[in-house]
Amino acid sequence: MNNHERISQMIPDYINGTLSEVDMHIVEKALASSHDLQHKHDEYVHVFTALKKEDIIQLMNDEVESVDVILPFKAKRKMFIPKIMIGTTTSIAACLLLWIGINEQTPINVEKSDIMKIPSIELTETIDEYTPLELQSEEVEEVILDEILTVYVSDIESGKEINPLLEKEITNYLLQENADEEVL
Amino acid sequence: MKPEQDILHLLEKGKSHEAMSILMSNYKRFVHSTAMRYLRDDDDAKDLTQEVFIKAYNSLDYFRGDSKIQTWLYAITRNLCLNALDKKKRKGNIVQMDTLEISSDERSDRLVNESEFSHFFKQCMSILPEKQRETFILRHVEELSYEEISEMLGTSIGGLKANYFQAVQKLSQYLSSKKEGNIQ
Repeated sequence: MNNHERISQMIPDYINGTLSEVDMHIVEKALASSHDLQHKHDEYVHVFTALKKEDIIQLMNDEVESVDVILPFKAKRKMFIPKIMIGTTTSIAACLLLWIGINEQTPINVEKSDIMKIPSIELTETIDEYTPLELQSEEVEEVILDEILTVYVSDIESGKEINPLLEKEITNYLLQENADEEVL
Repeated sequence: MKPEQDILHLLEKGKSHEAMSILMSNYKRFVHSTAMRYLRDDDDAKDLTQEVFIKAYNSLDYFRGDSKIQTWLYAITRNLCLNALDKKKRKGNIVQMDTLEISSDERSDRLVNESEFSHFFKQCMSILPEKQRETFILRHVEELSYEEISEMLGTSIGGLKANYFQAVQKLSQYLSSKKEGNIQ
């Protein structure tokens, strides 16, 4: 590459003022002494005038205005929860809901002493080695329901007064179960 | 504080969402215009901009400022654009950028929808080969140094200077012929 070509190549950066001071002086000197380089300089100035940086940026900004970037939520690291905890929590929640449901049905005018005390259960035998059953939440629910149904049936048999809400819930549950079986 | 420093500062504090907001507001135009130059389709460029920022967001925690954010974003954008173009090419519905010719009907239709400058700018860019177009935009519009562009495009500084000069030269010739009435 000869000196003329080298300086020609520097003209665009000279126009935009991005040359080093030393190179600026070299180009200025060359421009002053060469008509050809001066002519090229004028042509390139025309390019930068026609394609102004500000106009191009404005155009790009207009185009990008309608671009909406929606960032996804970063997935948090999953906490390890043992299965037994899930089962236990579900069972406790089920018992609590049941207890609240039954309690809310107790008439306000009933004295505390009128409420039948839950008989304490005394073990006839002492079990030395007790291994707790490892039950899943579904199994626990089934056990609770079985217990409720047993109490309900024995209450009917002994002619005791039945909680109407409990009766309604059990009827619905049995109807639902029958319907499921029919579907199957 | 510069946006780059702000972003790194927020990242150090673990505030990646806030860092991402600054990153998007500062570089959305840059990413979209780069995507637009590669894909030549506004909808595709918008989709890709979204994709770039999601990718950047997912890997932001690993960004430690070894390279400039703009260089990093450019690399993501370029890779995604090339992948998208490759997919289009395989489907057979790609429009070659360097040989893009606009029919007179299409031209008049476009003039109705686009501003005069937008149309003129797109015409000017369509006459440049990819490397020259990229170098021209990154140097003239984004005002990046040859060293930064070299890192982005993987081209030598000497090669980039030549590309930039040739781009300006071609644009100058194009504008002269346009002035003489050879091109509409």
